[in-house]
Amino acid sequence: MLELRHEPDQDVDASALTLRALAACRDANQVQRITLRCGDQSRELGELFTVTPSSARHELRICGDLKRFHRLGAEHRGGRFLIEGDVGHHAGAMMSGGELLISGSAGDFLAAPLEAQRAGMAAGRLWVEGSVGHYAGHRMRRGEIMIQGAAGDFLASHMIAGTILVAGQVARHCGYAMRRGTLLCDARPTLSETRFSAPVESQSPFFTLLAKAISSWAETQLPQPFAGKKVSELLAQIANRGYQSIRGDFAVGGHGEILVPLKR
Amino acid sequence: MDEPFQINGVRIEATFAEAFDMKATRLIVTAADRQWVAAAAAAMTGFGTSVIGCGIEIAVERELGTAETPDGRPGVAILAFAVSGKEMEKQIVGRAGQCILTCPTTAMYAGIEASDAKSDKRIPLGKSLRYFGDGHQISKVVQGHRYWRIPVMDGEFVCAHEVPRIEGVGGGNFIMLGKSRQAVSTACRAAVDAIRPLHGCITPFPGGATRSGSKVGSKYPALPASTNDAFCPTLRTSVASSALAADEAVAMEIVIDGLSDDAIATAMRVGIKAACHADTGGGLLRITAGNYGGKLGRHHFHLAEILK
Repeated sequence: MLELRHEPDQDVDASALTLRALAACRDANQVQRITLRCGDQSRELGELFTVTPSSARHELRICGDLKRFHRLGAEHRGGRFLIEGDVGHHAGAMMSGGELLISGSAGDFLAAPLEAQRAGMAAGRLWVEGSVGHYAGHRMRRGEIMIQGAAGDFLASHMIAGTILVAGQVARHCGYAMRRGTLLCDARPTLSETRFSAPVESQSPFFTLLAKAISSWAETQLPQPFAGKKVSELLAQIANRGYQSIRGDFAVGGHGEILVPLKR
Repeated sequence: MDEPFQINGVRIEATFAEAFDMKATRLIVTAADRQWVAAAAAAMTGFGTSVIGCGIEIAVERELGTAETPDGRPGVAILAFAVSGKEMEKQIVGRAGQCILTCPTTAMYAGIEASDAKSDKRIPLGKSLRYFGDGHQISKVVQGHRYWRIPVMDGEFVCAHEVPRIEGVGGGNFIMLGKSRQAVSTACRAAVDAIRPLHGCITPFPGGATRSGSKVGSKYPALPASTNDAFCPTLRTSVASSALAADEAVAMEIVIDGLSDDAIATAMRVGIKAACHADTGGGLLRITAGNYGGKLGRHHFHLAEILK
């Protein structure tokens, strides 16, 4: 477990902080010597965090206000990466397995590609108790993103596949150039009438299956301080009452779907 | 050596049933209500009594409550058995497409958990049926399992991508002999009713029983099997090998397919005891079992061992 000693005065590239890297270390001393880019300098992990060994073999837990730490959980492949606090941009970038759980809010480009890569998140489950910034789920290929709070502009832009749930408000340009994939929102977002279809009411047993899976996981696997209720409630409404389904983005020949629960 | 014995006055032969390795699978079918479930299940399991002529032996294993199905709707579990994996795949895909996909409000799921993710023993379900969606189908992965959502006229047909195929056992059996059709029918029905609630097995013949028990071979080269003349009452004086006693006028056979030897042994025990205690007015006289001398099938169910 890593506890932030104090907030850094420059942005930190935390992409080197992975479960794989820590698992490869023999002891806490070696962990402390992992280096992170801090502005134009390198700093050792031990300078920024208190390192406490843990018996949980496939879990990394980090605590603190990590808003200046970017790329946390980037390319995460397996096991559980648990963050108690807010995080910066590009959290979970290009993750391809395992679970990334964030108890606070995240910045922009959640699970999005890095640099010039064209594909975003490829698998796994990413859970955010708070809100997220712009471009969350950009170019997502597979996996699940669940956001208890709100999302900024360009949510699910260029989405290829996968499932994103947002229990809070969704801002502008959501689903921009989405090709496939499923976005579940609590309220209907503002969408272009030429790029997206009119809503169609429907109900499918698939969402009961999904709701059971997510709520069972949330009840048994989600640790403190995560609550998970809003996402589970959104899914339960969609499963039990049905939903409005909006398809698009027709500008790219997309067959993505944006679902909003029917309110009774 | 087993000795014959009696249960409630019914003689139990010192013999064994001989059963065979088969390929097996379990499917779960759900629908909006029990009526649609029943319609889909009846279609899916129709013409599925024997691999000899139907290619598959398939029947409802049990009804499932809403708490037992993946989507929380009423459903049934269906067991299927075939001689080969290729035939199993052909039958299941064809039946799923023509009998489940077609039936209003249904969905279809795997009823067997995959024990080995890298095994190639899978039967395609949605993997084959998805093309009916003509490009509008949606694939979703939940907890590592892929599902297809195929647009149809009542909404969506939800279907698991595939279902695992496992090893099963087919041909567990016991033959009931008695004085009259009525007596043996009563015994049959009691046996089938007792077997019905058991998990892991089916009795695929009509009403769970057959009167056309067969033997291997025929005087006609094209036929793989023919009537079991040893138990045909009208041939008792014509064939040298009649197995009927003087007071036995009717025989009926219950065939059981199961996912394990234990499942079949349990079903045979429960069924035989229920038959022996049925109200046949003394009309049920003897219970025996069919085998090929132990030379064809490697699963042997000795009546004495099962019933002790």
